[in-house]
Amino acid sequence: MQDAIFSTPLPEENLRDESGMTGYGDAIVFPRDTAQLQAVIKQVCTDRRILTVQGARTGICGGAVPLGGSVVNLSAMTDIEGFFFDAQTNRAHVSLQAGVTLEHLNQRLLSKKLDTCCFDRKSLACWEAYRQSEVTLRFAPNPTETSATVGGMAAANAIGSHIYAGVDMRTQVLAVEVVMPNGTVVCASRLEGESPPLPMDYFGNTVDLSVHPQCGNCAGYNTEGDLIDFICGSEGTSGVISRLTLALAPVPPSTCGLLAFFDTPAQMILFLADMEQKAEQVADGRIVGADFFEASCFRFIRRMRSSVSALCALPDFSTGVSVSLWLEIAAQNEDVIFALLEDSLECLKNVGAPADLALVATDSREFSRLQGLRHGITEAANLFSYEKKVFAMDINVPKYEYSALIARLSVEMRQHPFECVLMGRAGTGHLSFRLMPETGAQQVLAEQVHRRWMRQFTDLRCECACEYGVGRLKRELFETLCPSRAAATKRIRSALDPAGLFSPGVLCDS
Amino acid sequence: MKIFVCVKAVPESDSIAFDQETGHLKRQGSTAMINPCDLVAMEAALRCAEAYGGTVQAVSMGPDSAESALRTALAMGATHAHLLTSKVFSGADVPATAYTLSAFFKAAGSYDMIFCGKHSSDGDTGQVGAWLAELLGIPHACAVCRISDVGDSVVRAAQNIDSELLETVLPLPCLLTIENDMYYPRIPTLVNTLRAKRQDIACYNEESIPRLDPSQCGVSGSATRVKKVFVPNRMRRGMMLGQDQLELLLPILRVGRAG
Repeated sequence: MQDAIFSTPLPEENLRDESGMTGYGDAIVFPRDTAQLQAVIKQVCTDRRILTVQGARTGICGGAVPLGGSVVNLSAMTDIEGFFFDAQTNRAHVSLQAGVTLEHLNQRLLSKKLDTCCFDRKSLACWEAYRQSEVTLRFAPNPTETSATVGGMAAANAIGSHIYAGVDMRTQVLAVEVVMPNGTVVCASRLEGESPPLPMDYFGNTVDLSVHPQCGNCAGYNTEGDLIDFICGSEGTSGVISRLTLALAPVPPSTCGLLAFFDTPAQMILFLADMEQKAEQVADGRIVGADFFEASCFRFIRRMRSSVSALCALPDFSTGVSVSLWLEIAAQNEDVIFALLEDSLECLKNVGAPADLALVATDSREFSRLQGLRHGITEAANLFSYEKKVFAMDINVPKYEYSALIARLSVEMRQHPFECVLMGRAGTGHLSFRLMPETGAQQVLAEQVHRRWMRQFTDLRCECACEYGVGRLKRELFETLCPSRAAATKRIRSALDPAGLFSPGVLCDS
Repeated sequence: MKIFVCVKAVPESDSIAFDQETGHLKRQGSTAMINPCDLVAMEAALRCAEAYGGTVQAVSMGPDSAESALRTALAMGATHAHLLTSKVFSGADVPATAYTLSAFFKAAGSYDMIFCGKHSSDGDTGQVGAWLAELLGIPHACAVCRISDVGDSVVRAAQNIDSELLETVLPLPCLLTIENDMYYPRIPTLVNTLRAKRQDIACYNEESIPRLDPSQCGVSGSATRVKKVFVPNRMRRGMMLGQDQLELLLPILRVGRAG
């Protein structure tokens, strides 16, 4: 096994992530395996040095930005170590180190070409069976940034549009190996015949988990599930994930994307409910993803198109619409896809939406282009954050408030002089927006708007969503919207890391 | 104005397989999609028709799976689609493909412009357009990156030749091969996609195209034959030599020279 790479001072790129924050630090280590990672953490504990954990540094909340001390970066831990595939049931999972990126994993699965040097005999046999089979597998969680590492995705409980079908990291991680802040290595597994301990059982009396509201997709520790649920979403503060076993799922035989446009958010909500009913009536077809984009996104695309390559491939969108909805439809065959598309046309007409504007992507190229809408907007918004302060919020809204809140924010955003984008995971109550002021005066105004909205969201009993994590930049949002969960998170964190050495300031104060 | 666009169905990149014996692409059973360059040609044709008035029709030569390419063209906005399909046409190289297409166009009656994509992602010759134009006896321009004016009898276009723009005026009818980056192709609308699914595609074989000589089609009409298709054996073995080890090269070089 090769030695860990050690570097001092930190390379400049490792002082940043995609949040726009720049940090500082003394040294960085790139361990290549769990033993090296454990040695780093033990040394940090001994020396009482601050340690920041990094993966691919794709986070937008500053979680990977070091503020002093050392950095441990897992991007050199990229071995895919084991594979399981049952040709009868298409059940499959893969075991890998935390530094493997989502993109790399899915490319290997799609191409059925993989370096199997780490595989034992059983894994080799399963891989060969997969290669010979007709099915194509993928890892189903689809966050916007596919260059993220699987370890980072688990740490942030990353979600994508497939959250609509209940797919997030917590549900897809079958086993995890974590190096805890005290240097011990913990393994938790949901694989056949095994069950991970509950957090309460694992931590015993050392950590008070007794008062912690239901988590769901909200930020903060999940104490309602098992130890894997607890670790996923803990943003590296409960330990450093070194290895994972991930559930794999067959790629649906037929997929299409529909981008529909609406005059009001209420039309969109009605349409989605109608389509969900239609999908339930059709065997072998379902909606697996649903993202919405408010008109501010299209205004922003028009402005940024020439400077962001990811936006160039997007179509010109109509200026008159209020919101749009991206639906990902999966089915066993093309006939079912087209039956659902016929249903969608009927549903659009029924709610009074401009059905003529709706776009459909039935082949992989068109699908990638339209699916890239969210990624393009996020990338363009990231450009802003490198030079200016951006106010980012991800919230979960009670369903009965969702449509009305989108409509109110939509009207208000048109009146403000600064750029803003509003989008969300439709069907889950999630809203994501960024206020992007460009001048000093705009920044003052954006700050006021930000504070006013936070009060509004508190009154509406919104919660801080775990999408993108809390990191450092959304701590205030977390503490404002979820004060009791934030307080419990801080208490748990203090018990796990009493010296406050691990990524201080991430998720909560240590 | 009547514009035709030649489109081809090509395999999705992850489903390409070759018949090792014949050297031909195994098209049956593979997932077919419209050739990416032909999407740009379709977009150029549709914008011309929208700007100057007219209709766009799509033509493809291939097996049944080529229907998918034509349905994409219909979904983008083509009004009609034509599929030239027969075992007699299969295995065709550039001349045989161009001949079959030319027979269709000669039988089709009038047309003002034929658009072709720059090349196909599977064959990658980039020659069918020019060959077709020669067989039809019509002027053609390749690497077209701009169409600035279409009149009753001429079209003004710019060609991207070695990073210089060449302004060209061509009399109608003519054939244009469209550069890849001329446009981003439009995403089909839901309404057009559903219409395209239901629309009939006119099919032609060697008997339904007038004055077609089958001996000039397909394998029998091909001037070239694919002898073998193989993935080159990449030798990964090697030695790193330092400056003080160059004499180790000598026996290797002597053997190379003798070979």
